[in-house]
Amino acid sequence: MRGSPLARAVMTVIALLALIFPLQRLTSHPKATVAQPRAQVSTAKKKLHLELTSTTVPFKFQITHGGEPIWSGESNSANVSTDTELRFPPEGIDLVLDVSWTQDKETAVRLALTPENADTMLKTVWGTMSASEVLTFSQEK
Amino acid sequence: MTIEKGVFMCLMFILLSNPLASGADVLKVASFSTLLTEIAQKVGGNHVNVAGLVKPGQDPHEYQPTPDDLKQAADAKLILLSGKHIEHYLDKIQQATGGKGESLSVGDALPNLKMKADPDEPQEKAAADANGMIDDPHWWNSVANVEKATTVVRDALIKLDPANRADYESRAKAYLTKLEALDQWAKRKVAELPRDKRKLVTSHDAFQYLAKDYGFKVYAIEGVSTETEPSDRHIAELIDQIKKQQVKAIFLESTLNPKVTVEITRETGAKIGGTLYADGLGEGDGSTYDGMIRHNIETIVDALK
Ligand SMILES: [Zn+2]
Repeated sequence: MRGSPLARAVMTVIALLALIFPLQRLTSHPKATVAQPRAQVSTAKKKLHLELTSTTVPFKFQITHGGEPIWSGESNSANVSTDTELRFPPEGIDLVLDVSWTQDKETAVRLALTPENADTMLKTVWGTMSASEVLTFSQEK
Repeated sequence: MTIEKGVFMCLMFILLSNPLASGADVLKVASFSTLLTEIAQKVGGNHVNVAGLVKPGQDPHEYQPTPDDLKQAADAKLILLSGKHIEHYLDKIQQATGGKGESLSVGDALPNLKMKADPDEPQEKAAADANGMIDDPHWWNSVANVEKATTVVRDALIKLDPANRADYESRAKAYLTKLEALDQWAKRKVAELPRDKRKLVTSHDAFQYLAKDYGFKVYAIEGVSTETEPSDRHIAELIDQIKKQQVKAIFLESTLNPKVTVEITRETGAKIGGTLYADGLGEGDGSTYDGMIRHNIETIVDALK
């Protein structure tokens, strides 16, 4: 490259500056990387229909998700249902079912979960006077 | 009272007030696992005298029996081994005891998970199958496995000391009830954590059994054994996974050097979630099995939530 020494020096500085920015981006590891929206953990909620069926009435029940009660009550009929919205990742969800009866006899209680536009999944729990169980619902496989 | 009568009364008092002092009918047990020490004590009660040779907080991968440990093993009628190839000093025990006491590899009676053996680790290489896989020795991180181990130890005690069968059975039943309650508690606690956040990054690969029971996926910094250093490539892959999977926290272990773990948190922005008991009982919370599991589950769930 020909030209005055000053012009060459200016060109060199510009070339160096142009190099520094991409280099700095390549070599630094900003902590923000983790927070970038790569969306491995989906936050979208899904509409779900829940239905409880008990072979003995009356019964008291509570369903907990992520440590928070999402549905509870007392029923004199064998069937109760509700609609709710929850995050439903491919790995599935855990619902904790606590149920109690006044009658002292062995009883089955079934929880049916139907995500919007998907098949119903069923889980049955047995107990006498009370039952408590973590139920996993997954659409995988 | 004559002198003879006084001495006789004193001797009687000493013998009656200390059941172990009568010696003869107390079953001597030597245990090479902190977990099995607890189980043998819980199930055996006053009928056994358990020498816990691997001490709480000691790394069972690195443990080597001392001459005194071997002497205690030689004196024992029952030698409890963790099994699944973690005791790479079996020949020393065999030599010291001459096969006198009954050796029981409790872990070998439990369900098995396989792990990739470290080819740079001679003991692992020797134990590996044709596909380079070895048995994962960390069975105690599953409560269900500890329940099964309790029945194995109970049956061994009954076999050696049938006179006290009823006691062993009732003590085992009481311990099993507590373990069942612990497992129920753990399931409920883990249910607080969404299933897609159950990603466990720990110092070495010790939590596969826990992961299987409670729906976690494990990313380990080292292999199965604590004796090997992780390769740069393995660490780079792990950093990539932690970023991709948006893992919020990674965990240290009570028996390991935290240097590499801390370095990874610096690279990924994940926080240190706490210290876990990976290789058996330790000090503090982890001095009992119940405390150890509660500490581990609470630490993991609360950090990843
Ligand atoms: Zn280990």
